[in-house]
Amino acid sequence: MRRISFAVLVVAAFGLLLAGCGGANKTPPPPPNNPNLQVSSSTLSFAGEVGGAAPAVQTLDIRNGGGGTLSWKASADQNWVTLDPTSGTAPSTVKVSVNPGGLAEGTQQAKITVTPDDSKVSAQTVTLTLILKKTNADFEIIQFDVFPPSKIVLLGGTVALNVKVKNPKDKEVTADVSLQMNGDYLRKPTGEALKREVKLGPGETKSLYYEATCCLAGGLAVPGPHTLGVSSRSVTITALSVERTLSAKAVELFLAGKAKFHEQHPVISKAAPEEFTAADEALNSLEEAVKAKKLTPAQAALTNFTAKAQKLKDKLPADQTAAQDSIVQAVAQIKSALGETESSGDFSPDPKVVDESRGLTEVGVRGGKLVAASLSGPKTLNPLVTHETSSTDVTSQIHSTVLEINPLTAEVEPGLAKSWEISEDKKTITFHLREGVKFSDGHPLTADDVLFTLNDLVLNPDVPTDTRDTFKIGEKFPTFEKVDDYTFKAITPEPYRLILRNMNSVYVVPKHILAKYVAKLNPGALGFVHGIQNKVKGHQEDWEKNFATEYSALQKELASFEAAVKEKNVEKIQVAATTATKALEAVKAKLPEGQAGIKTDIDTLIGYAQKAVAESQAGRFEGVSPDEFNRAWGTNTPPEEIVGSGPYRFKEYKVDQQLILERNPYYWKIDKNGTQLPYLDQFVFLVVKDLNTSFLKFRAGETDAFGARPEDWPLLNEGVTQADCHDVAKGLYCKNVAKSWRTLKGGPLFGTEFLTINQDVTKADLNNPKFQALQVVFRNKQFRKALAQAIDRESIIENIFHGLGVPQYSPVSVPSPFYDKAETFTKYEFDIEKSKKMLDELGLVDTNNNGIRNITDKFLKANGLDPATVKGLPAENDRELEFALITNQGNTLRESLSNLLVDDFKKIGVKMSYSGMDFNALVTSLTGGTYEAVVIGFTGGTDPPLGKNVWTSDGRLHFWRYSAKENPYDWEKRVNENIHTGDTTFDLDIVKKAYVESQQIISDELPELFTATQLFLNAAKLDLGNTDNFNPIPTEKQNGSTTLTFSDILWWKNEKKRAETQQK
Amino acid sequence: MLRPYKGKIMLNYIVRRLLYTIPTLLAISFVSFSVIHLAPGNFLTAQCAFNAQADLERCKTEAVRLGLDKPWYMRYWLWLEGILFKWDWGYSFENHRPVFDLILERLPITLLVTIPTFIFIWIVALPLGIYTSTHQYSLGDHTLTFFGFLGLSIPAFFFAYLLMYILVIYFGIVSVGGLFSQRFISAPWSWDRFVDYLQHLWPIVVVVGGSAVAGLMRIMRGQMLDITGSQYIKTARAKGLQERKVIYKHAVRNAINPMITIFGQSLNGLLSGSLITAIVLNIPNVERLLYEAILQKDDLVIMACLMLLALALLIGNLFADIALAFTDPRIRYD
Repeated sequence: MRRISFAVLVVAAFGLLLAGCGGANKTPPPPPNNPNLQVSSSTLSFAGEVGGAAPAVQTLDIRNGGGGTLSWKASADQNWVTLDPTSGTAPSTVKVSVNPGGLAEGTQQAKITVTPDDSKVSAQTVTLTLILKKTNADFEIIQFDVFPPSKIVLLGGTVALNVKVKNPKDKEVTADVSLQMNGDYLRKPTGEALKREVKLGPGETKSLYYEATCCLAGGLAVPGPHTLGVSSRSVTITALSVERTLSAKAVELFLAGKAKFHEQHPVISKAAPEEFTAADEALNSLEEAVKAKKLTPAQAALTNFTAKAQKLKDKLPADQTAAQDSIVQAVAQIKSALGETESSGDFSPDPKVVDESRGLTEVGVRGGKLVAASLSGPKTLNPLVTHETSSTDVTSQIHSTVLEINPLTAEVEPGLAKSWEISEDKKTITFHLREGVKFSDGHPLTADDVLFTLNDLVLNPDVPTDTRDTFKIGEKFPTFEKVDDYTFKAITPEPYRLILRNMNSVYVVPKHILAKYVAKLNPGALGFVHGIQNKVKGHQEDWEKNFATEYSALQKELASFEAAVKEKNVEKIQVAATTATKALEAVKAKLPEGQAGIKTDIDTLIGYAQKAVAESQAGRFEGVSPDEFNRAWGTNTPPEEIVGSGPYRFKEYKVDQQLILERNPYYWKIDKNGTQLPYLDQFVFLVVKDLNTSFLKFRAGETDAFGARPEDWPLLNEGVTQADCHDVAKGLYCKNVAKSWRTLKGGPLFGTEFLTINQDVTKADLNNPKFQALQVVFRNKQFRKALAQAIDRESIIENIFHGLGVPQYSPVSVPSPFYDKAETFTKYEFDIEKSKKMLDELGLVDTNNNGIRNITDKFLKANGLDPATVKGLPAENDRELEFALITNQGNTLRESLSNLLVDDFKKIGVKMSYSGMDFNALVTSLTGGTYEAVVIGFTGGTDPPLGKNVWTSDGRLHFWRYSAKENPYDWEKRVNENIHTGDTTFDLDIVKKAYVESQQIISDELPELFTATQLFLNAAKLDLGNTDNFNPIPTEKQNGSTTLTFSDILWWKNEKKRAETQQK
Repeated sequence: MLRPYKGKIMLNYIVRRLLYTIPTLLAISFVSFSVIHLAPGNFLTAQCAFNAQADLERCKTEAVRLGLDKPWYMRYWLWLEGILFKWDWGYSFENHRPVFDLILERLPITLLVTIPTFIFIWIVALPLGIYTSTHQYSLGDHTLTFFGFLGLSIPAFFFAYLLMYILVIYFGIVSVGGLFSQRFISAPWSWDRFVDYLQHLWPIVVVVGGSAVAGLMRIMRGQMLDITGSQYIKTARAKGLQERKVIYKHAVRNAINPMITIFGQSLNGLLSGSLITAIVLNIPNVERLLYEAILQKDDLVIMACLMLLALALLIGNLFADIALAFTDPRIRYD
């Protein structure tokens, strides 16, 4: 019903448009056969700068509005106007350019006359205006990025700017690009002058980076708004001040100091009664402040007291050293007492301030624990070797990343790095880390840890991390270099935008804990010998077959080499190394010509043998095995060994039952009140293997949040009325007061589920000539369009997602910022009749009236295959349009999807026979290109939204047409180019344009026929704060569990809930 | 009951049987290993072959690191070699930890569930079997038979869902799924924790044990009916023996023999229990480890679990045979 009325609207709107056009056409027609000169406009205006570059060229269209032919000539009355061409025959286009050189400030006018050759036709004039201004600035600011993007910093925190300036003129200028501030509130951390000037050549651009400590004036903190800027651009920063509170220990220490002060009371009060009383009074007011636990008044009182105590001490006779000492000690102790701050916590002086822009809409109160269900216990707590969600769910809470993804916008924002700058050639990105960030064991986090993570782990081939794959640029990897303790550089072989995104997938791990497990950093003789043995083992089969004698000799030598190293006998090692080298040489000599690569390998191994000798001479026999790191941080590791910089730290794991995380007391984020995050004391993962059981546990109140499935939705919303619901920014929010939970329905999730037909289907069976005919059908775009038209997406949504889904036409997931929000891609409305008509038109008709269309001779001939040339091709009547559809068994969604598609296509006379297949077998047949049709899906991502292995024409998973590797279609080449643009361009607008184009192309070419996507569904306890902004974006990284992304800002509005953890 | 004169012969028998276990286990391991590798793909398939982001070169190095580049018989030999000579059951690909540790971690929970379940099954099934046989065709027999068939015909997982649903939705009982409430999972043993354990245990015992009770009860009933119909029971009754003595001393002692064999064969059930029920009721036992390992194609974990179950079956059979020698004087091993 709704669709019909929409169609009516569209038709009506179109009708209106036509009517409008008709009105415009009602100018009186010129007499026939008489030329009529028309010029597109009667005025032209240009704007420019005195002495500046020429303004952009404009054009005039000259048309003949009447009959016959019309030749014309054009001229201008001023010499600074140039016309090109100056004569011609209509219709033509004339380029008009102006040259402001030598003209003064003000408005200049000129007249252009277009004269027809036929004197009967009247001439036309165009008035041209050129406005010239004197420039204020000699340069333009073309980019102005502010760090932090939220524009909130703690007093003493850093504000950074990335500014790009351009000289638009054709001569060199000197630009004043000093950082301007209101007042004296900002100063550069290094104390350098903020005054800056740059020389810009003609048309040159320059990237500038500014960094300033926010808002300190003469050592006094001034909270509130502050403005800073460069030239004409400025930004307002809000500076926060944090009231730090004193701990109970501070009071204790203070009282001890006070007792110390009173120790020599009789002596002192006799020697300097007045000063003593004054100091004592100051001490009393200090005591008041300390007991109130307020740091700032206590500090002021301390200054007062210290001064009084100093006076008192000076007044004391020189021989009363005991009394003097007691005063000095007391003052020292009281001073140290004020160092014991609490509640605001021990965080970086430059913390990340979390506010609304990151989902923190309600400033919370600390305390309590959150229990979330997890489908499986973690397999390992080593964030580099994990690849499944049950483990990454946990490690994502224990560790943090250099950059982060904003969970509301999916844009990259500062993380452990407070800012970054991109070099002029875009190949070097410099990251500036927050200073004073600490790991959960109190050890400082510096560039060394980041570089350890990147260079020694992520880029280390010994470590099986899939993160490394995302860093691969062509065949190369970026290099990472340390600049200083808080700065490092990433240098890429070509501009690579995704490196910023990748910085969000690398969890920074502590070097001081993990370095000892890394073979690369712990060379030793045994390590090298094992290195040789492992490499040799890899060639075992080949060598054993081809030169058994040499191989067994080598094995023997290596065994004695290992024995010698284990014996720690340097002389024996030297001898063994020599013989082992000889054995290696012997093998090398036997290698055939072609194996140059292996020969180099052997040279490396000989090098290892020498290194083993050198290491043993240096007394390092042990070394670490290359596999050691992968076993580090298993699930049985003692909690204090697992150290990170995430919101929580590891407390305990009961295998497959529960995992407890506790607040990281050194976390580097705060809220606007200055309270250190996270709010929760504990975060508990309860392992619940089954989703139905998990649902019951949420209902029973044992877990606090639940990533709901469509089938749970009616039960979750039982008793909810319209009045309980309201729209929030990211969806529909409903309160279920009776059950004390809230439900949130958001936009579509990540991922695609689609049908693909194999356009290289002859590969499925090379001996079956029928597949040659089928391939012609599958390669026909109109055929695929007809199929897309026949998919009843509404019923898919109804049947599979219980109505909680949306149709999908684009390969890019909706939450991705690169999704074509204007939806300019091709959509395929369900229309069986149209689909049938399209197939009929193609010639794919049912020749034998059995309800299934046939691949007719007519169709084959029209599409370039003469059926007569194919040996053994069955007759037309036996060439039914039928093929096999497979999907992975056990995936209920894809199984039901397949069945629905089989039904849909049956209605248009296309027969698919469906069968389930084991996932691994399915993958083999997909990547081998031997399937006919498949229903499968990809998880989808924010960026890059098009998986490289899938969409580039030579990609490993370009499984609908592997022959694209040899001869890609033009559209495939275009998609390749767009992917390249997406990888290498930092300007997001350009990237978005490229991806939108790819979406248009793919939705038109239909290599994949997309079906539907489920909506984001979530339920959480009503009194759990900051859950309104839950949305699908975080589900990309933390499969289904938005709770984890927002884990640092969740809090209990219910005091009882907060008190729960305090009983322990 | 113990017959000391038989001790030596029995010992010989036990040693011999234990020795037979070794080739049997070897044969089982070989068959299992080869069957696992008949299925296409391996541990890396899911993360490498069908991952839009994975880099093939890394996957190749990974395969070499995990030994997956070698043919399966070579891997079998390496695996066997490790166990025989180093007692090394290998590493889990997925967990990056020794397989042996993984199994040891899950054994306590497994036994915490299965031992009470076993006790429940046998304590309930045998008396009910005896009762229904001695009260054949009575109301009690019919009622119990009805429930017995009901218990057998309802799938355990469905029964588990049903019970949990009823308990949570209608009775508001939250102690379902898992063995402990969240706050007791990590707590040391205490009275409260024990009570919590019992509260969680009974639904599991009822679900897992329910169908087993029904089956065993029926077998026991049939055995008893067989025997009570035999001549010597008639003789015993005819000579005026007390009915209690007839049943318990003559009938039950003979009817119990096949039950002991069944008991022995179900000993591996102590370690596995019912997989689907374990998933539904959220019990992290060895069987669930095996299940996850099969999904991930974590070969060495699968092998270790299978070997453990096979061993339990063999030992169980041995125990049953030994027990039979004690309960049935007709049985002699030499």
